Amino acid sequence: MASESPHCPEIGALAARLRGHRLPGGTYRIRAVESRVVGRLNGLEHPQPHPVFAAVASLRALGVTIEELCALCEFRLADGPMLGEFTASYLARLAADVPYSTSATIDSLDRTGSRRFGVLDRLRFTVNIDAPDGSPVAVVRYLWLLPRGRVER
Amino acid sequence: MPARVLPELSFEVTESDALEWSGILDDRNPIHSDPAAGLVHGLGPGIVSPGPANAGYLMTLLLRAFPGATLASFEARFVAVVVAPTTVVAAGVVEREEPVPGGTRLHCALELRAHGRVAIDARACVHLPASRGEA
Repeated sequence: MASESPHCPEIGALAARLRGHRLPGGTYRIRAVESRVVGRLNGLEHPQPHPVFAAVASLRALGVTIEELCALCEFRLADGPMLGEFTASYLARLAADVPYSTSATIDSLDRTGSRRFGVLDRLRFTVNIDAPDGSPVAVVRYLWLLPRGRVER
Repeated sequence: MPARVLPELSFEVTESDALEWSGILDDRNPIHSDPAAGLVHGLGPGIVSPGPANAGYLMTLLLRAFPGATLASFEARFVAVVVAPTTVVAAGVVEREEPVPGGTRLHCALELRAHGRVAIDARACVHLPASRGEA
């Protein structure tokens, strides 16, 4: 757990460095056991993988961990990143045991203020999920909120 | 045409569920595993249920309301955290039905409520295939 104030870097250079930054990406396969767990957590006995697996695949196959993605933004996971927005476009049904490949790009990082959280950075990134033949399966876009806390002026 | 109201769904979200979700997502944010972490960040006592898990409850509402349909798009804005243990309610309406080749596209407005307020405000499009025999 965070024991000191969040780091609050100068936003201009950081935003410029991150804009268009490509994450390594990777592959993700929906395993039957995970599909059953997600079905149970949703009260479903669904033969098809749940569409929420677009979110799972997009985060599991970034090629970096969530902690490492935060570190790119000079933000500590312990400081509590929050999900602000999630958008998914589905171009094909998700299926189990298919090795989907992902590619991910940071779209932007900007800064705003919040009465509740103080300085708040907004990280936007996009993840493309493709089938083994290269055809698109889903496009996922995120807005993450990175609370930097109150800054002494 | 008046909006068509979907049958609401309730989900009990336990601390164990939130932990299980953080494992599935490989999300090691301490707010999803340590009840004290949420307090430090002003999010309340308890384990914070991961956002994608909460969005999933709204997708489930659509899967239940429209068996055989496919989700075409989903947009969620997270306006409040869901702290387990709690009960969340998924609700929605079909605002518009649009004929498209091979079926109908349903434009839905959704919300997930928890702790007496809206936690997620969402919109989704669902493709409902034409029944056999229909054009």
